[in-house]
Amino acid sequence: MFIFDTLSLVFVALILLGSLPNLIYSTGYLPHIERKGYYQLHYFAFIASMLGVVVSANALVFLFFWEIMSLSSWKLILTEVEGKSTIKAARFYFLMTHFGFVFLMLFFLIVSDGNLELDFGSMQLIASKFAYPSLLFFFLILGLLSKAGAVPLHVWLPYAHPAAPSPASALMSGVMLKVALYGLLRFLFDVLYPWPLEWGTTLLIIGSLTSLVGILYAMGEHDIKALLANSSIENIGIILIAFAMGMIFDTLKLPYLSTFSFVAALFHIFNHMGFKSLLFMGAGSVLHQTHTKNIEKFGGLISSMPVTAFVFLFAAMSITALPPTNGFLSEWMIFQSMLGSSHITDDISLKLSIPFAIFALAMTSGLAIATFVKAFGITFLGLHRSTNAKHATEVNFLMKTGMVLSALYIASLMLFAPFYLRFFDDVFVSLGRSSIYAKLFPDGILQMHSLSVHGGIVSPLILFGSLVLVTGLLLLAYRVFDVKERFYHTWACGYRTAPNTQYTSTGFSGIMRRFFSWLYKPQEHIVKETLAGHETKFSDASYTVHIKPLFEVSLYESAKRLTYIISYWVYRLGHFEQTRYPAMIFTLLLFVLFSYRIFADDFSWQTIIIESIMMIMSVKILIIGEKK
Amino acid sequence: MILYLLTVVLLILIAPILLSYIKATKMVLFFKRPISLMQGYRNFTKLLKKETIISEETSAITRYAPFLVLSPLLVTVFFLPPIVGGAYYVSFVDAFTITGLISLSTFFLMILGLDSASAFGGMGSSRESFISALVEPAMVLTIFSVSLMADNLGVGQAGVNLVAHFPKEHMASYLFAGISFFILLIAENGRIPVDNTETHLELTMVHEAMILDLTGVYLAIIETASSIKFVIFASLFASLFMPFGLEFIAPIAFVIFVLKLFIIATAVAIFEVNTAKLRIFKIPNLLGLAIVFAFLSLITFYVLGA
Amino acid sequence: MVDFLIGLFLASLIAALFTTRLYGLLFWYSMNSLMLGLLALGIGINIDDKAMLLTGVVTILIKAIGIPYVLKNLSHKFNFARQIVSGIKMQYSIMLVPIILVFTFYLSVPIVDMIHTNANYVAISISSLFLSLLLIMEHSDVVPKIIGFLALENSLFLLGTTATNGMPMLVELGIFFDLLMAIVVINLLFHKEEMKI
Repeated sequence: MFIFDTLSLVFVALILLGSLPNLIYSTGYLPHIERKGYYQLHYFAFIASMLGVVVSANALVFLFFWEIMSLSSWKLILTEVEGKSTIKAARFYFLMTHFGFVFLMLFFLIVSDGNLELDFGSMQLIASKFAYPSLLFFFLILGLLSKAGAVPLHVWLPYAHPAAPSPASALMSGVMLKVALYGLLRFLFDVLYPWPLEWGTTLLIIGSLTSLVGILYAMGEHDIKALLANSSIENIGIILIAFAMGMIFDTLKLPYLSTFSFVAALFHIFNHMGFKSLLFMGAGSVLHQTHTKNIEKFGGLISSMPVTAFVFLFAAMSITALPPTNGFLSEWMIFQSMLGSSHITDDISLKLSIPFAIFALAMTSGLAIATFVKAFGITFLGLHRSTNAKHATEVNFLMKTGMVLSALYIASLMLFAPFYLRFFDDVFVSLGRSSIYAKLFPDGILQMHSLSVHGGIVSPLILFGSLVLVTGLLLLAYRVFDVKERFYHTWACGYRTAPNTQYTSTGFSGIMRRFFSWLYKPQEHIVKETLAGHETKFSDASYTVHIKPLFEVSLYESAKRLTYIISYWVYRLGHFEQTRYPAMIFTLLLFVLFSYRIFADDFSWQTIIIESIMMIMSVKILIIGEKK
Repeated sequence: MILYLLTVVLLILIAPILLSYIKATKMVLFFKRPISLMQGYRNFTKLLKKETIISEETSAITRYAPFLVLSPLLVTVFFLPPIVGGAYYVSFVDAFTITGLISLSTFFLMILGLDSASAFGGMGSSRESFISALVEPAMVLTIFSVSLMADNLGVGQAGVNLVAHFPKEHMASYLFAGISFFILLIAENGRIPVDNTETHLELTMVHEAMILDLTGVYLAIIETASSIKFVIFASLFASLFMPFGLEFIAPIAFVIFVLKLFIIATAVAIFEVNTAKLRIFKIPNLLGLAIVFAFLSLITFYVLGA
Repeated sequence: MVDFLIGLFLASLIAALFTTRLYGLLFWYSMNSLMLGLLALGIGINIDDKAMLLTGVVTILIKAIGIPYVLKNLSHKFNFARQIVSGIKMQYSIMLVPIILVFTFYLSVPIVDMIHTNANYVAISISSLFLSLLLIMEHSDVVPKIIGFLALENSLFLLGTTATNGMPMLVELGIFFDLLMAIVVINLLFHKEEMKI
C-alpha cells in the first residue's frame, strides 16, 4: 500500500521542508482569515494528501490521494471569496485538474490491466506489452503536466494560485507542482522504461516553450501573486528541460550525463520549492499589510517592512539564477548538461532542438532578471504609491519566523549544496542509475565539476566567499575613510519627486510589452482630459492596459466554441424523428467494430483515413439526411 | 602567481585609461583637442573628495548596492584568462559564472535605479532590463559555441587552449561568435548605438539615468565599475578572439596584451563615431543581429561542423 | 581561410537583411561581393585555375565596386529615400532568419552527403540563397529588391564555385552578361519610377 524508497523519501523531505516554515507562517496569517476552521481543515488535509501521493505504492492509493490533493487545494482557493473572479478561478482549476485526472486514470487502467491494486513495479511488464507506448506517455504527460502547469495546459495556474490565501498559494506553487513532477519521475522510471528518443525531444520542446511563455507573461503581469504564479510556470519549464535532457542522454546510452541532468532537475525542484514558497510568503505579507495585490499600489515598503523586503530580495536573487545562489547552481547544471550534447552523433532533430532549448533557457534567465527587478523594485523601493502602503507595518513574529526559516533553507541549499546533491544522487542510484557524486566532486566539495566533456567547473563557496570578502573590504574602506554623508533632496531635473512621478510597473514593462506585442496583444485604453481641445495638452490622463493570455484566447476559447457546436449537434440528435435512431445505432456499431479492428489488429494511417471517410459518409447519409 | 597578481593589477589600473582613450580617440576623430588619458583618474580623485549626498527618498539599498555593483566585477577580474604563458590562472571558474557575475552587478544597478524614486531611475532600470534581457541569450549562445571550439568551458583554460590550437577548421562559426561578442561588448558597456554615456538627455539615457541621484564616493564606485566592466569584456575579447601572444616572455606578452586592448578600444571608438545612437525600440535590431549570429555560430558548429 | 571568407559572406548578407539604410545595404552588398571575389581568388589559387582567378578579379571589380557605385549614383540622381522600410517586423526577422538557416541546413543534408568536397559550403550557399530571397520578399522598394536579386546571383555563384570546385568560365561569363542586361533593365525601371513620381 505504501512504499518508502529513496525517491519517495526525498519527496517526503521536500514536502516537509516546504510545509514546516509554511505552517509557522500560516499560523501567523490566521487572524487575517475569516473562516478559520474551514481553512485549517483543508490546509492540513492538503499537506497530508501530498504526503500520501508520494508514498503511495499502487494506483488506487495514488489516485485517491491525488484526488484529495486536488479537492483540498480547490477548497483552499475558495477560502476567501472576493467576488466572481475567485469562483471563476476555482471553477477553472476544478475543470483543469479533472481534465488531467481523466488521462491519469486512463493511463492507470491500461498499465494496471484493470487491477488497480497492482504495485508500480509489476506495471512495467504490462506496459511493455502494450502496443502503443507513446499513447501511454501522452496520457501520462497530459495527466501530470496539466497539474504541473506546462504549456499549453498552464492557463489555469495564474488564476488559481493567486486566489488562494498566501500560505496556501505558497504550498500550491512551491510543493504541489513538484508532486506532479514526482509522478513523472516515478512512472517514467518504474513503468515506462525504456524511453524512445522522441519522448525526450517532445518534453524538451514543451519545457522550452513553457519557460519562455511563463516568464513573458510574468513580465507583463501587475498582480504580484499572478506574477509569481507565472514565474512558477517558467520554473516548471526549466525543470522539464533538465528532465528531458536526462531522458535524451539515457536513450543515447550516456549514463553519467543522464544522471547529471536528472540530479540537476531534482536540485532545481528543491530550489524552486524554497524560493517560490518564500516569494509567495513575502507577497502574502505585503498583501496582508496593504490589502491589495496590485503591484502599482505598493512602493517604499522596504523602510516599513525590512525583514520581508530583504528575504524577498534574497529569494529574487536566487530565482533569477544570480551567482552564488542555489538557483544559479541548478541552472548552471542544466546548462552544463546541454553542453554535454555537443558530441552527440548525427540526429538532426536533437541538433536543432537543443540549441533552441539553450536559447530559450538563456532568454528566460535574462527576462527573469527584468521581472524580478520589477517585482522587488516596484514593491519595496521608491515612495509609497498609495495610502495603504504608507500605513503598512512589519508583519507579526510568526510570519517573520516562517519567512526567515524559508530563507535559511535557501541559504542551506546554497552553502551545503554537495550534501543535498549526494542525497539526490542516492535517489537515482536507487533507481538503478550510475552514481555521479564522485565525479561531481573529484577534488573536495569546494569545486563542482560538470560531467560533460570539457565541461566547466563552478565553486559556489569560493565565489560566495570572495564576493563577501570583496564587498566587505569595500565597505570597510568606506568606513575607514569616514566619508561625509548628507541626506538631502537630490536634483531631479527640475521635477519634484513625488509618488506619482515614479515609474510604475506598467511603465517598467512597457518596452517589453511593445517589443513582444505580437505575443501579448495588449488592449490599451487611454482616457485624456484635454485642455481646450488641444491633442497634446491635457490636465489628467489615465492609461490602462490589459493582457489576455494568447493561449487562453486561441486555444481555450476555440475549444469552447467547438463544444458549443458539438452540443448543438447533440441537441439536434436528441430531437430527430424516431426513424433515425436505428441509423445512429448502425453507425455507432460500425464505428466500434472499425476502431477495434484498426487499433487491435493492424494500425496504419491509411485505414484510419478510410475509416473516417466511411464514418463521415455514413453520418451524412444515414443520420443527417437530405437538407430540407 | 606573481604574474597573475600583476595581471589583475594591470587590468584594474588600465581600466579608466581605456575609457579615457576611447573618448580621446573620438575627440581626435571629431577634430577636437583630445582629453588626457589620465582623465579617468582625475575624475575619480575629484569624486572622492566630494561630499556624498544621499537622496531623502532612498532606503538602505542605496547605501549598499553600489558596493555590490562593483564587487562582482572586481571578483570577475581575478577569473580572466591569463595574458602570459605559464602564468597562474583560475581554473575553477567557467564562462557561465562570469556571465552570472556580470548579471549580478547589473541586477544591483537596476535595483539602485529604482530606489531613488525619481522617474529617471525607473526609466533607466526599465531600459537596462530590456537590453540585458536581450543580451543574455546572445551571450550564453556565444559562450557555448566558443567553449565548444576551445574544448573547454573554463574561461582561463579556453584562452590557453585557443592559443595552443587555433580553431582553423571552425573558422566560420568562430567568426560568427566573434561578431556577436563584439556587438555584446558594445551593448553591455553602454557604447553609442545602444547608450550614450556622455550626454544626459532623457531620451537617450540608459546607464546614466540609473545613477542620476548618486554623487561623491558612490558615483566614483559606479564609474569604476563601468570602466572595469569594459576592461573585462575587452580582455575576454582579446583572449578568446585574438588568441596569440601568450608564448612570449612576460614583459613582451604584457605589451602585446595592452596593445590588443587598445586596438579593441580604437575599434569601439571608430564604431561609435560612425554610428548614430539608436532609438530604444531600434536596439533590438542590433541585439537581434547579435542573437542571430550567436545562434548561427552554434548551428553552424553543430550541424555543419564548420 | 575559405571557411572564414564564407562566414563573412553569410555575415554580410545577414547584416544586409537587418539594415535600414539604403547606403548601408549597398555597403553590405559590396562587402558580400568582395568576400565572394576573394573566395574565388582563394579557390583559384588553390586549384591553380586561371579562369577562376580571372572570375574573382572581375567579380571584385564589377560587383564589389562597380555595381554599388552605379546604384549609389543612380539613387542619388533619382532622389530615392535613404531609409528603407522592411515589410517584415524586426521581431519576426529575428526568429525567421535562424529558422531559415536551421531549416536549410536541415534540408541540405542529403545534398551535402552527395558532394564530397567542400560539403558544408553547399549548405551555406543554399541558405544564403534563401536569405537573398527573403531580402527580396521583405522590401517593397525597388532598390532593395534589386540588391536582393544581385545577392541571389552572388549566392548562386558561390554554390556553383563551391559545389563543382570551379565553375566553367563560360557559365560565369553568361551570368555576367545577364547581370549587364539586368543593370540596363534596372536603369529603365528607375526612369519609370521617376516618371510615376
